[in-house]
Amino acid sequence: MNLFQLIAAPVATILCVRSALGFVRGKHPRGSSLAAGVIWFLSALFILRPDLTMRVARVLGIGRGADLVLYLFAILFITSFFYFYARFRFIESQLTEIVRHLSFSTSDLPNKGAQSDSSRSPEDSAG
Amino acid sequence: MVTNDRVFIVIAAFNEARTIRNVVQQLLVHYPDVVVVDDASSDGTALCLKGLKVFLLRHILNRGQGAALQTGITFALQQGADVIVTFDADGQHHEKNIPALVEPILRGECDVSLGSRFLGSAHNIPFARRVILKAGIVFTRMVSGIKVTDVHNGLRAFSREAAGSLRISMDRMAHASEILDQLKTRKLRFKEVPVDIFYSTLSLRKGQSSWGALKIALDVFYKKLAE
Repeated sequence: MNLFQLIAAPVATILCVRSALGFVRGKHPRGSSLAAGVIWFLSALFILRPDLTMRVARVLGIGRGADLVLYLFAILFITSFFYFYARFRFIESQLTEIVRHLSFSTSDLPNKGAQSDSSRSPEDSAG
Repeated sequence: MVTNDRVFIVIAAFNEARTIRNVVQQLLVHYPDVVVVDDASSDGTALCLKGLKVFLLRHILNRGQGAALQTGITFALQQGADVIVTFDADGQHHEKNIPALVEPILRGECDVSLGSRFLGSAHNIPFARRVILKAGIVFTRMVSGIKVTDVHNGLRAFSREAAGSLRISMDRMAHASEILDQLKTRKLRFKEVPVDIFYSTLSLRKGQSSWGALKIALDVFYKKLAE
């Protein structure tokens, strides 16, 4: 075992166990815990047995184990990007809805004239 | 234009203190129902409307022109609007173009009227802006399959039903592309109408930059992929 394997493999294993416990206990969304657990398990496995990447790559018709890892990383990265982009847009839309709702509740009506101070009540602007 | 139908003019305004009062005053001559959505301006845009009989809505946070227009449209529908016209706050649009947009909707010829500066006139339009808008036409045809001559014109009119069926979810400038996309997906009948756009030094300085067009294209692209 080299130094990298001595450090990285236990870390990946611990994170895998943590994800598994999260899945069992249901504290976090089960899909996320499962996906994270699988990723950490594979990470630990490939760190301890880098020759496995070569075998899997050959089965899949990919030239090298390193290429397989790179392709998996790229897929994971792109998937994560669009997942977080979708979450970001959802949160932005919710923020807009809140701002919109507040604007309706503080709107000024034409027969009272446009107000400079939104804190003034409609009764204050009459006359 | 004489009609019993209630025509609402919706204006999204962000830091338009220099022009908003003049724009609204000219509109109020013929259109009593004007909705101004102040998108958290920091230059006192709302104060400039003091004394004018307008519906004034204020966003406490800046959410973008698309968000402000949807706020105004939703409000206008709640107030019983039969036709909703979107109009820019920077003085680029002229109220004399409004009847040409509204009348096809009232006659039942279409659900949405889209203003086109390339069918009408674009006074003082910079060359770079013209090139970018033309590129936008190609982009829109590729992405949305919609054939129009002006893809980013804020002067539009919607029937009540069309306004109710559309939903602007893109808060910033990409909303213009989103509206065109929804015209197709919701099978709304639309018609392009010649309008006049007046570019002033002020409106050019404040308007969309060329890089903004790239950002709009990216926003539309990401949204398509994420759907």
